[in-house]
Amino acid sequence: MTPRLLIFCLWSLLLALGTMITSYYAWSPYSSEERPVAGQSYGPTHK
Amino acid sequence: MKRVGSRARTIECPACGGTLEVRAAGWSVSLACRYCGSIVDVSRPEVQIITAYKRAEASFALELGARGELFGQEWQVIGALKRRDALYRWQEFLLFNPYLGYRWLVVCDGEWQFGTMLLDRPAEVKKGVSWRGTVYRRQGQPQTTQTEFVIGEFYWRVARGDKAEASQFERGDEVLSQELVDGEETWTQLVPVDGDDIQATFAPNRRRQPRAKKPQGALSFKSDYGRERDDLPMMFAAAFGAAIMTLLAMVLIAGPVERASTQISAPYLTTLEGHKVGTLTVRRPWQFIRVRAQGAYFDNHWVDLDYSLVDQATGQSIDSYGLVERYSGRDSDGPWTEGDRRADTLVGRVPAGTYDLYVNAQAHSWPVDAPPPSTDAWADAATIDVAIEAETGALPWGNWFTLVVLLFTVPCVITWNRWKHHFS
Repeated sequence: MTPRLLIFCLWSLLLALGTMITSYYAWSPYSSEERPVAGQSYGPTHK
Repeated sequence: MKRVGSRARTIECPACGGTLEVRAAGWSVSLACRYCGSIVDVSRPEVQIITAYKRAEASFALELGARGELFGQEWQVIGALKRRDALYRWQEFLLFNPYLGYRWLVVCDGEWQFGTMLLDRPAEVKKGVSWRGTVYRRQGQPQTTQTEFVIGEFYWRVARGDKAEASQFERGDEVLSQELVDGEETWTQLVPVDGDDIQATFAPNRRRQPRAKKPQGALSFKSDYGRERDDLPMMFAAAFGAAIMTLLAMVLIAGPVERASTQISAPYLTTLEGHKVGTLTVRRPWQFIRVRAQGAYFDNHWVDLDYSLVDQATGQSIDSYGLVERYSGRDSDGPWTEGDRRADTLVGRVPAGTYDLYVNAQAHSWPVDAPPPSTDAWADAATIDVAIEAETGALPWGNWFTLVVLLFTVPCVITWNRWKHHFS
């Protein structure tokens, strides 16, 4: 195993663990709890 | 009393190699060697050149003139080169036998190889070359090599600073080395030689064998670029494995799925308030809840949806929202559409407990652009029907896709760099 492959495997492991931990705590940056500021998101944006 | 600064320097006698001290450097013109009696002209730059040559000669693993037997034949070292590329330094020794001609002995990172120049050019095949019926696979990308030191005699003009474009093709331990210099192409077959055999035959100085250049900075992560075994496929495999393993773990962690659904009719001008979708139980310490709203057919309208997850035990509410919308029209570019009649809402950080899910809904119209509607666009329908379904144990796909992007960025960037290097 080359050094950079070892580093990459550690990086992959870190990412995988991080994602699993966020799953356990049910956290996501993409959850939709907060409504955008009123009046900004209605109607078509087509020009 | 002021001390006068020393102007002494040392040189090596070109004749015997003895160390001589020039006490008045810059002033003295000649100096007698106290070891062999030679008169050395210390004012001439050749002295320095000779000194550098002697030092270079002493830094090679094998001495010029050394004789030894390899593969049943006797060889003599008649020339030596020190070469390097971006990451490696190695030494090449030109061997000579008056009946067999020239061969090479190469040492890099403690490994010895015996080289024979090819008289027939290998043919290019997919992913490598073919030579005498055997396919050799390309290893890494072509590297620019540079000659650092030259001593001895050679059968071509060689000088310090010479550059070549080198590629390697492997089959097992056997290597075909290609070098391109000013359009001239040479091929060498390299086979490994046991270090013990070299030690027994030529008795090389181990301390003078070249070592790999230590990578620095960003190169420390790119240390294998184009030289050692190609680890890029392993990187892709590791990224793929990590992505799949994490997805399986996320499915297990997400926990049991429980669903509730309802159908609502969202009114215009007023709000449908407190419509209960159903009851959901979160059975893990934390779970995601996904609420999916699917509107019936409508156009140039939107429906505001406000969700409230009310904990039956505490009465506390977790709020979120959804928006189903669909617009269409026609302009100078032709017809256009926008929005989606389906809306997914992901509610995170929902602690264990039993929840009642409520929804507030209100429908709105959007005036069509052109032509003006013949009827009142703000009141052309009484309600919009929306089906709502909620479930626990939802998967946060956004997290997983982010992981996939981060995992594959590194091998993709390396692939891009190689592709760029290959076509530049």
